[in-house]
Amino acid sequence: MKKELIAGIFLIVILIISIVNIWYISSLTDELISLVEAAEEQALEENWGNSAESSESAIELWKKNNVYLSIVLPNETIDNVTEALHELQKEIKAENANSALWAVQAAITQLENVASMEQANIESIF
Amino acid sequence: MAITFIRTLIIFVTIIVSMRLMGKRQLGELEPSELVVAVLISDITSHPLENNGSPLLYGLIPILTLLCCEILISGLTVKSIRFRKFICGTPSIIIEKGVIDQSEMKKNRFTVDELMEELRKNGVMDISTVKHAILETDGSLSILPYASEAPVTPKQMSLNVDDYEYPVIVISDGRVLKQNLHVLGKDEKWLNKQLLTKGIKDSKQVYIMVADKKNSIYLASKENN
Repeated sequence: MKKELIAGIFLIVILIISIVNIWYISSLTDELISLVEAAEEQALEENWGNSAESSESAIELWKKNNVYLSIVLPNETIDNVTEALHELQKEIKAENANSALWAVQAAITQLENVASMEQANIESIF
Repeated sequence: MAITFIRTLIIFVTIIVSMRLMGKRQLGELEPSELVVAVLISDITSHPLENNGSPLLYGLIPILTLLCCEILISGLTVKSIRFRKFICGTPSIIIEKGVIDQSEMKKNRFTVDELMEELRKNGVMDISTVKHAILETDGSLSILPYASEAPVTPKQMSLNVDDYEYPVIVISDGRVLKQNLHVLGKDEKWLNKQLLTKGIKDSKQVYIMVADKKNSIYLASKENN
Protein backbone atom coordinates (compact mmCIF):
# COMPACT_ATOMS: atom_id res chain seq x y z
CA MET A 1 0.00 0.00 0.00
CA LYS A 2 2.88 2.31 0.85
CA LYS A 3 4.46 1.84 -2.58
CA GLU A 4 1.17 2.54 -4.35
CA LEU A 5 0.66 5.67 -2.28
CA ILE A 6 4.13 6.93 -3.14
CA ALA A 7 3.54 6.13 -6.82
CA GLY A 8 0.25 8.01 -6.78
CA ILE A 9 1.81 11.01 -5.07
CA PHE A 10 4.70 10.96 -7.51
CA LEU A 11 2.31 11.02 -10.47
CA ILE A 12 0.52 13.99 -8.97
CA VAL A 13 3.85 15.72 -8.38
CA ILE A 14 4.87 15.15 -12.02
CA LEU A 15 1.53 16.58 -13.11
CA ILE A 16 1.92 19.65 -10.89
CA ILE A 17 5.47 20.23 -12.13
CA SER A 18 4.23 19.96 -15.72
CA ILE A 19 1.52 22.54 -15.06
CA VAL A 20 3.99 24.87 -13.36
CA ASN A 21 6.33 24.42 -16.34
CA ILE A 22 3.54 25.37 -18.77
CA TRP A 23 2.78 28.46 -16.72
CA TYR A 24 6.46 29.45 -16.45
CA ILE A 25 7.23 29.00 -20.14
CA SER A 26 4.05 30.86 -21.02
CA SER A 27 4.94 33.78 -18.73
CA LEU A 28 8.49 33.88 -20.02
CA THR A 29 7.47 33.90 -23.67
CA ASP A 30 4.79 36.54 -22.98
CA GLU A 31 7.41 38.76 -21.37
CA LEU A 32 9.82 38.22 -24.24
CA ILE A 33 7.14 38.92 -26.82
CA SER A 34 6.31 42.18 -24.97
CA LEU A 35 9.96 43.22 -25.13
CA VAL A 36 10.18 42.33 -28.81
CA GLU A 37 6.97 44.23 -29.57
CA ALA A 38 8.30 47.22 -27.63
CA ALA A 39 11.45 47.05 -29.76
CA GLU A 40 9.24 46.99 -32.85
CA GLU A 41 7.23 50.06 -31.77
CA GLN A 42 10.38 51.96 -30.93
CA ALA A 43 11.91 50.99 -34.29
CA LEU A 44 8.80 52.25 -36.07
CA GLU A 45 9.21 55.58 -34.23
CA GLU A 46 12.87 55.47 -35.32
CA ASN A 47 13.86 55.47 -31.65
CA TRP A 48 16.73 53.10 -32.40
CA GLY A 49 18.50 53.54 -29.09
CA ASN A 50 15.52 52.40 -27.01
CA SER A 51 14.70 49.73 -29.55
CA ALA A 52 18.22 48.30 -29.21
CA GLU A 53 17.86 48.35 -25.42
CA SER A 54 14.58 46.44 -25.63
CA SER A 55 16.08 43.79 -27.89
CA GLU A 56 19.10 43.56 -25.58
CA SER A 57 16.77 43.07 -22.59
CA ALA A 58 15.00 40.28 -24.45
CA ILE A 59 18.31 38.54 -25.15
CA GLU A 60 19.42 38.94 -21.54
CA LEU A 61 16.14 37.52 -20.23
CA TRP A 62 16.42 34.55 -22.59
CA LYS A 63 20.03 33.89 -21.54
CA LYS A 64 19.14 34.22 -17.86
CA ASN A 65 16.73 31.29 -18.22
CA ASN A 66 19.09 29.23 -20.34
CA VAL A 67 19.80 26.53 -17.76
CA TYR A 68 16.12 25.86 -17.08
CA LEU A 69 15.20 26.00 -20.77
CA SER A 70 17.94 23.58 -21.75
CA ILE A 71 16.42 21.04 -19.35
CA VAL A 72 12.87 21.31 -20.67
CA LEU A 73 13.24 22.29 -24.33
CA PRO A 74 15.06 20.67 -27.27
CA ASN A 75 18.39 22.33 -28.11
CA GLU A 76 17.18 23.09 -31.62
CA THR A 77 14.26 25.15 -30.32
CA ILE A 78 16.51 27.12 -27.97
CA ASP A 79 18.97 27.76 -30.78
CA ASN A 80 16.20 28.98 -33.10
CA VAL A 81 14.95 31.52 -30.57
CA THR A 82 18.48 32.68 -29.73
CA GLU A 83 19.22 33.13 -33.40
CA ALA A 84 15.97 35.04 -33.99
CA LEU A 85 16.64 37.43 -31.09
CA HIS A 86 20.21 38.09 -32.24
CA GLU A 87 19.01 38.68 -35.77
CA LEU A 88 16.54 41.23 -34.43
CA GLN A 89 19.25 42.98 -32.47
CA LYS A 90 21.47 43.04 -35.54
CA GLU A 91 18.77 44.62 -37.74
CA ILE A 92 17.94 47.20 -35.08
CA LYS A 93 21.59 48.18 -34.68
CA ALA A 94 21.81 48.48 -38.47
CA GLU A 95 18.75 50.81 -38.21
CA ASN A 96 17.15 48.90 -41.04
CA ALA A 97 13.38 49.37 -40.53
CA ASN A 98 12.02 46.78 -42.96
CA SER A 99 14.48 44.08 -41.95
CA ALA A 100 13.90 44.87 -38.28
CA LEU A 101 10.14 44.40 -38.69
CA TRP A 102 10.72 41.10 -40.44
CA ALA A 103 13.10 40.03 -37.63
CA VAL A 104 10.47 41.01 -35.04
CA GLN A 105 7.90 38.75 -36.69
CA ALA A 106 10.40 35.89 -36.91
CA ALA A 107 11.28 36.26 -33.22
CA ILE A 108 7.61 36.42 -32.18
CA THR A 109 6.84 33.31 -34.27
CA GLN A 110 9.64 31.38 -32.60
CA LEU A 111 8.54 32.48 -29.11
CA GLU A 112 4.90 31.59 -29.82
CA ASN A 113 6.13 28.22 -31.07
CA VAL A 114 7.93 27.64 -27.76
CA ALA A 115 4.80 28.53 -25.79
CA SER A 116 2.53 26.31 -27.91
CA MET A 117 4.96 23.36 -27.68
CA GLU A 118 4.43 23.17 -23.93
CA GLN A 119 0.67 23.69 -24.02
CA ALA A 120 -1.35 20.54 -23.36
CA ASN A 121 -4.07 20.82 -26.02
CA ILE A 122 -5.54 18.52 -28.66
CA GLU A 123 -3.15 19.64 -31.38
CA SER A 124 -0.02 19.11 -29.31
CA ILE A 125 -1.16 15.80 -27.79
CA PHE A 126 -2.18 14.24 -31.10
CA MET B 1 30.55 11.73 -26.75
CA ALA B 2 30.80 12.43 -23.02
CA ILE B 3 27.23 13.69 -23.07
CA THR B 4 25.96 10.49 -24.70
CA PHE B 5 27.92 8.46 -22.17
CA ILE B 6 26.50 10.32 -19.16
CA ARG B 7 22.95 10.30 -20.55
CA THR B 8 23.18 6.56 -21.19
CA LEU B 9 24.32 5.94 -17.62
CA ILE B 10 21.48 8.04 -16.21
CA ILE B 11 18.86 6.31 -18.35
CA PHE B 12 20.33 2.89 -17.58
CA VAL B 13 20.26 3.45 -13.82
CA THR B 14 16.71 4.80 -14.06
CA ILE B 15 15.56 1.71 -15.97
CA ILE B 16 17.26 -0.68 -13.56
CA VAL B 17 15.70 1.04 -10.56
CA SER B 18 12.30 1.13 -12.30
CA MET B 19 12.40 -2.57 -13.19
CA ARG B 20 13.52 -3.42 -9.69
CA LEU B 21 10.69 -1.44 -8.17
CA MET B 22 8.17 -3.09 -10.51
CA GLY B 23 9.31 -6.49 -9.36
CA LYS B 24 11.85 -8.38 -11.44
CA ARG B 25 10.40 -11.40 -13.33
CA GLN B 26 11.42 -13.34 -16.38
CA LEU B 27 10.13 -11.81 -19.59
CA GLY B 28 7.94 -14.83 -20.39
CA GLU B 29 6.16 -14.57 -17.07
CA LEU B 30 5.13 -10.92 -17.30
CA GLU B 31 1.49 -9.95 -17.05
CA PRO B 32 0.19 -7.91 -20.00
CA SER B 33 0.58 -4.51 -18.32
CA GLU B 34 4.11 -5.37 -17.24
CA LEU B 35 5.04 -6.50 -20.74
CA VAL B 36 3.66 -3.28 -22.20
CA VAL B 37 5.69 -1.20 -19.77
CA ALA B 38 8.87 -3.20 -20.45
CA VAL B 39 8.49 -2.80 -24.22
CA LEU B 40 7.60 0.89 -23.97
CA ILE B 41 10.50 1.69 -21.71
CA SER B 42 12.98 0.05 -24.06
CA ASP B 43 11.60 2.09 -26.99
CA ILE B 44 11.27 5.41 -25.16
CA THR B 45 14.79 5.34 -23.76
CA SER B 46 16.34 5.04 -27.21
CA HIS B 47 15.25 8.55 -28.24
CA PRO B 48 17.23 10.69 -25.78
CA LEU B 49 20.17 8.34 -26.23
CA GLU B 50 20.16 8.75 -30.00
CA ASN B 51 19.63 12.49 -29.97
CA ASN B 52 21.71 14.63 -27.63
CA GLY B 53 19.63 17.66 -28.55
CA SER B 54 16.55 16.12 -26.97
CA PRO B 55 16.15 16.91 -23.24
CA LEU B 56 16.90 13.96 -20.96
CA LEU B 57 13.59 14.68 -19.27
CA TYR B 58 11.83 13.47 -22.44
CA GLY B 59 13.14 10.01 -21.56
CA LEU B 60 13.07 10.15 -17.76
CA ILE B 61 9.53 11.50 -17.35
CA PRO B 62 7.93 8.70 -19.45
CA ILE B 63 9.93 6.05 -17.60
CA LEU B 64 8.94 7.38 -14.19
CA THR B 65 5.33 7.85 -15.27
CA LEU B 66 5.15 4.28 -16.59
CA LEU B 67 6.75 3.01 -13.41
CA CYS B 68 4.18 4.79 -11.23
CA CYS B 69 1.30 3.57 -13.41
CA GLU B 70 2.57 0.00 -13.25
CA ILE B 71 2.91 0.13 -9.46
CA LEU B 72 -0.62 1.53 -9.14
CA ILE B 73 -2.07 -1.09 -11.50
CA SER B 74 -0.31 -3.95 -9.79
CA GLY B 75 -1.48 -2.63 -6.41
CA LEU B 76 -5.06 -2.44 -7.68
CA THR B 77 -4.89 -5.95 -9.16
CA VAL B 78 -3.98 -7.23 -5.70
CA LYS B 79 -6.84 -5.35 -4.04
CA SER B 80 -9.62 -5.94 -6.60
CA ILE B 81 -10.52 -9.28 -8.22
CA ARG B 82 -12.64 -7.55 -10.84
CA PHE B 83 -9.84 -5.21 -11.78
CA ARG B 84 -7.42 -8.12 -11.89
CA LYS B 85 -9.69 -9.96 -14.31
CA PHE B 86 -9.96 -6.85 -16.45
CA ILE B 87 -6.20 -6.29 -16.63
CA CYS B 88 -4.83 -9.83 -16.55
CA GLY B 89 -7.72 -11.89 -17.84
CA THR B 90 -8.57 -15.31 -16.47
CA PRO B 91 -6.88 -18.67 -17.01
CA SER B 92 -8.47 -20.89 -19.65
CA ILE B 93 -8.86 -24.64 -19.43
CA ILE B 94 -7.59 -25.93 -22.75
CA ILE B 95 -7.65 -29.65 -21.95
CA GLU B 96 -10.23 -31.18 -19.65
CA LYS B 97 -10.01 -34.89 -18.81
CA GLY B 98 -7.88 -35.65 -21.82
CA VAL B 99 -10.15 -33.81 -24.26
CA ILE B 100 -9.06 -30.59 -26.01
CA ASP B 101 -11.56 -27.76 -25.66
CA GLN B 102 -11.53 -26.45 -29.22
CA SER B 103 -13.68 -23.42 -28.47
CA GLU B 104 -11.23 -22.30 -25.78
CA MET B 105 -8.35 -22.88 -28.19
CA LYS B 106 -10.07 -20.68 -30.76
CA LYS B 107 -11.00 -18.05 -28.20
CA ASN B 108 -7.38 -17.76 -27.06
CA ARG B 109 -5.99 -18.01 -30.60
CA PHE B 110 -3.92 -20.92 -29.36
CA THR B 111 -2.91 -23.18 -32.21
CA VAL B 112 -2.53 -26.95 -32.14
CA ASP B 113 1.18 -26.54 -32.91
CA GLU B 114 1.63 -24.27 -29.89
CA LEU B 115 -0.26 -26.74 -27.71
CA MET B 116 1.93 -29.65 -28.83
CA GLU B 117 5.05 -27.57 -28.26
CA GLU B 118 4.02 -26.78 -24.69
CA LEU B 119 3.12 -30.40 -24.01
CA ARG B 120 6.49 -31.58 -25.31
CA LYS B 121 8.29 -29.02 -23.16
CA ASN B 122 6.48 -30.53 -20.18
CA GLY B 123 7.44 -34.06 -21.18
CA VAL B 124 3.95 -35.05 -22.25
CA MET B 125 3.77 -37.31 -25.31
CA ASP B 126 0.19 -38.52 -24.96
CA ILE B 127 -2.59 -35.93 -24.65
CA SER B 128 -4.94 -38.51 -23.13
CA THR B 129 -2.70 -38.62 -20.04
CA VAL B 130 -3.43 -34.96 -19.32
CA LYS B 131 -6.30 -34.36 -16.93
CA HIS B 132 -6.12 -30.56 -17.07
CA ALA B 133 -4.10 -28.18 -19.17
CA ILE B 134 -4.58 -24.55 -18.23
CA LEU B 135 -3.49 -21.59 -20.28
CA GLU B 136 -2.40 -19.10 -17.65
CA THR B 137 -2.77 -15.32 -17.89
CA ASP B 138 0.94 -14.90 -18.60
CA GLY B 139 0.71 -17.20 -21.62
CA SER B 140 2.29 -20.28 -20.06
CA LEU B 141 0.56 -23.65 -20.08
CA SER B 142 0.18 -25.56 -16.81
CA ILE B 143 -0.11 -29.31 -17.25
CA LEU B 144 -1.81 -31.46 -14.60
CA PRO B 145 -1.64 -35.15 -15.48
CA TYR B 146 -3.93 -37.88 -14.17
CA ALA B 147 -2.73 -39.16 -10.80
CA SER B 148 -2.01 -42.55 -12.39
CA GLU B 149 0.27 -40.87 -14.93
CA ALA B 150 2.13 -38.70 -12.47
CA PRO B 151 5.51 -39.81 -11.10
CA VAL B 152 5.18 -41.70 -7.83
CA THR B 153 6.19 -40.02 -4.65
CA PRO B 154 7.98 -41.68 -1.68
CA LYS B 155 4.84 -41.09 0.37
CA GLN B 156 2.75 -43.10 -2.13
CA MET B 157 5.25 -45.94 -1.85
CA SER B 158 5.23 -45.66 1.93
CA LEU B 159 8.91 -44.96 1.92
CA ASN B 160 10.57 -42.92 4.63
CA VAL B 161 12.98 -40.44 3.18
CA ASP B 162 15.01 -37.78 4.87
CA ASP B 163 13.77 -34.34 4.11
CA TYR B 164 16.30 -31.95 2.63
CA GLU B 165 17.46 -28.77 4.24
CA TYR B 166 17.71 -25.51 2.35
CA PRO B 167 21.28 -25.09 1.02
CA VAL B 168 22.96 -21.77 1.74
CA ILE B 169 26.01 -20.24 0.06
CA VAL B 170 28.62 -19.61 2.74
CA ILE B 171 31.58 -18.71 0.49
CA SER B 172 31.14 -16.98 -2.83
CA ASP B 173 34.19 -16.33 -4.98
CA GLY B 174 36.53 -16.30 -1.99
CA ARG B 175 34.28 -14.13 0.15
CA VAL B 176 32.79 -15.50 3.38
CA LEU B 177 29.11 -14.61 3.70
CA LYS B 178 28.86 -14.18 7.46
CA GLN B 179 25.13 -13.53 7.41
CA ASN B 180 24.51 -16.88 5.73
CA LEU B 181 26.78 -18.60 8.26
CA HIS B 182 24.62 -17.08 10.97
CA VAL B 183 21.47 -18.41 9.22
CA LEU B 184 22.97 -21.91 9.43
CA GLY B 185 23.76 -21.39 13.08
CA LYS B 186 27.48 -21.77 12.39
CA ASP B 187 30.51 -19.57 12.87
CA GLU B 188 33.89 -19.00 11.24
CA LYS B 189 35.57 -21.57 13.48
CA TRP B 190 33.27 -24.24 12.11
CA LEU B 191 33.92 -22.95 8.58
CA ASN B 192 37.72 -23.08 8.96
CA LYS B 193 37.46 -26.62 10.36
CA GLN B 194 35.42 -27.71 7.33
CA LEU B 195 37.91 -26.10 4.98
CA LEU B 196 40.83 -27.86 6.69
CA THR B 197 39.13 -31.26 6.29
CA LYS B 198 39.05 -30.50 2.56
CA GLY B 199 42.70 -29.51 2.57
CA ILE B 200 42.04 -25.79 2.15
CA LYS B 201 43.82 -23.28 4.37
CA ASP B 202 42.16 -20.07 3.28
CA SER B 203 38.58 -19.22 2.31
CA LYS B 204 39.95 -17.03 -0.50
CA GLN B 205 40.93 -20.21 -2.34
CA VAL B 206 37.31 -21.30 -2.51
CA TYR B 207 35.12 -20.51 -5.52
CA ILE B 208 31.88 -21.67 -3.95
CA MET B 209 30.91 -23.45 -0.77
CA VAL B 210 27.31 -24.45 -0.10
CA ALA B 211 26.16 -25.94 3.20
CA ASP B 212 22.95 -26.85 4.95
CA LYS B 213 21.84 -27.45 8.53
CA LYS B 214 22.61 -31.15 8.20
CA ASN B 215 26.28 -30.27 7.52
CA SER B 216 25.98 -31.45 3.95
CA ILE B 217 28.67 -29.50 2.10
CA TYR B 218 29.47 -28.80 -1.53
CA LEU B 219 32.80 -27.09 -2.20
CA ALA B 220 34.67 -26.04 -5.31
CA SER B 221 38.13 -24.47 -5.24
CA LYS B 222 39.22 -21.73 -7.55
CA GLU B 223 40.74 -23.10 -10.73
CA ASN B 224 43.95 -21.09 -10.58
CA ASN B 225 44.89 -22.57 -7.17
